[in-house]
Amino acid sequence: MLDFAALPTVDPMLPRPFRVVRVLRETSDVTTLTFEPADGLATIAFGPAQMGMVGLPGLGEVPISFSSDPADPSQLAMTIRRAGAITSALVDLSAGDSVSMRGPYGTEWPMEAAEGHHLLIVAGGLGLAPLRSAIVTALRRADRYRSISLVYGRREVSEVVFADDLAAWEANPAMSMHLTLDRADPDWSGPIGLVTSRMDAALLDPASTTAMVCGPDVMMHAVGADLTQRGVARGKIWLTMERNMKCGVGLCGHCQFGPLFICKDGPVLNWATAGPFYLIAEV
Amino acid sequence: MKRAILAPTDLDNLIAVLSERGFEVLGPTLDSGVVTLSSIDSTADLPEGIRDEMSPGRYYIKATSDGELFGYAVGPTSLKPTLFPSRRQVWTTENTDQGIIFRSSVPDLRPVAVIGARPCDAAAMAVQDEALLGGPYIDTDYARRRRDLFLVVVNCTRPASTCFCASMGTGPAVSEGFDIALTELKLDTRHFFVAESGSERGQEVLDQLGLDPADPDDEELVRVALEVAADSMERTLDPVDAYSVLRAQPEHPYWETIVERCLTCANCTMVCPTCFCVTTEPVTSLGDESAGEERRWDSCFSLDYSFMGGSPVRETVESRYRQWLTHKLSTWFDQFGTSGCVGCGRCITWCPVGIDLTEEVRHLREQIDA
Repeated sequence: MLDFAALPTVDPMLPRPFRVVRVLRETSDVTTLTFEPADGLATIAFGPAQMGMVGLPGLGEVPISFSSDPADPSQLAMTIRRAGAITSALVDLSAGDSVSMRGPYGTEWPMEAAEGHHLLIVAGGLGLAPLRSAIVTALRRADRYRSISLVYGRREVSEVVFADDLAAWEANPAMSMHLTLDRADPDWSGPIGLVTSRMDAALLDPASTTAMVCGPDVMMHAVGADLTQRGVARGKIWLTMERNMKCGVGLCGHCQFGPLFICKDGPVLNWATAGPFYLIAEV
Repeated sequence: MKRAILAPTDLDNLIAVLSERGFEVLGPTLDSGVVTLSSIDSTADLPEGIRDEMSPGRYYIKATSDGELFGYAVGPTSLKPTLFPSRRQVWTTENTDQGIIFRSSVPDLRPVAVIGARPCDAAAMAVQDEALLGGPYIDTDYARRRRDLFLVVVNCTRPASTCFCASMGTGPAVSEGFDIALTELKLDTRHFFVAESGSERGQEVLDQLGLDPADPDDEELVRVALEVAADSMERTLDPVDAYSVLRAQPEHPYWETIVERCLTCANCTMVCPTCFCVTTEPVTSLGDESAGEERRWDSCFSLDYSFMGGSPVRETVESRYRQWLTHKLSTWFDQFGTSGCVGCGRCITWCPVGIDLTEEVRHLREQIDA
């Protein structure tokens, strides 16, 4: 028998009002927005890779991962790329504008389980956004990891996000940086190739490596297969996925990936769990 | 549980008692050529003598003079529209001096009593309970409607050719989740129902009606009628085998044969009593600058459903049909521990081209084994 009295009564679909306090134009189509609550209540405390449903009343909501430092919820931020109607409107917001916000939702990067391992972070393009929270969290306790490496691939030089962070990480002795560009460009003197072409240099000891990967599906598929082949355990290759979501809380059905709901079983999943479904077209 | 005999006139009393207890009473009615669920005042509103004949893509109504009140099998309307409305307001905004405020849209709901839900409908409700109330987040609107529901199930003695609840273990007799269960018996000389309660309040209501107890002969008639009904079902589906068939070869060429038939019209998902996918739609008001959000049923057959980053994840027809059937019969077990199918057969009847999931599973099994 269902115990109705024990069920929650607050609708998880009810958002809270938040206000944009800072706007940072990362690229021509990517903006980092920093938010504070506009209802006088505490802000959203999130873990690395968790997401929120951010929206504009009258336009709709989209799932976006938080890109700020989880240890500092006062700087709650999302890094958003102009894609559809809602993200385009979000990217164009100014300080003082209102948004709707729900969250945090989903699973987190396994920061503690990765301790004692080489931490290999692999980002493709804007995939760096949900990994930024992992990097800043790891760097705060860098002595707990055998090494911290970032492999960051882009299609265009101009595509770079978190330019200040990248410069700081380059200068940080705890961080090993492996940047690459998909194809040659006169403004780029570094390595050319996909992220997988940097693994010889970045992957130190497959048996004691935990990888955290985010990028387009095709890139994550390639990295998952490549790292598996190189000897990293499937259960130690973590990726964060994106799918269409209308609720973020397991009730709308849209984000299904095989038996998984990306919103509640993910977005962070390991290759042992998610890998088999990557092999199925249009799953 | 003690069983009681309920005469057709007692059924009018049951409707009256439930109304007095504050329920809006819904029951089967003949409307626009189908047996559906509507508000009823008395047994005069019930589809007396109406039979329904179904086959893949076909639904016919036939009038008889036999006087049975629940002689049809199953119309297109499950409990889903009552407990999980096809469209509802979720929230609205209000602009105040302090800024924008979001308010939950919590409608005034009169508790609903349904008379004449089928065992498959009760089973489907249990499936939706798991999906919508299993947590960690729940559908609070469904929870309210569900909490307040008084459910009178009428067991099935005349299943349709599209029914396969017996093989799914969900009928033709209801086993749980009901307040009162009735079995209608129409003999040459007698027309009556055998009633049993499935809850304390169900027993209270039966007690209030002052019914005579059923004698062993009547109970035997019920047992035989339901056994005959179970044996008469032409279609079968083995839920455990379907689970493994659909896992086995998601890229088997057989799926491509679906393209030649499936119109991706989403009818199956609309009539399915367990399909719970929804989308949200923004609502704006020109008048007072308020905005809101509506939620409406959605379907994995639409291209928008999986739209991401400029294109749908599931573009081909076969990928969308495969998603529906695999979720319904296989990954549902992984997610919620049961099949997502209760064997009501509605998706077979209301598919405009008559795709029959029991046949698709059988063909797929044969192809994989071949």
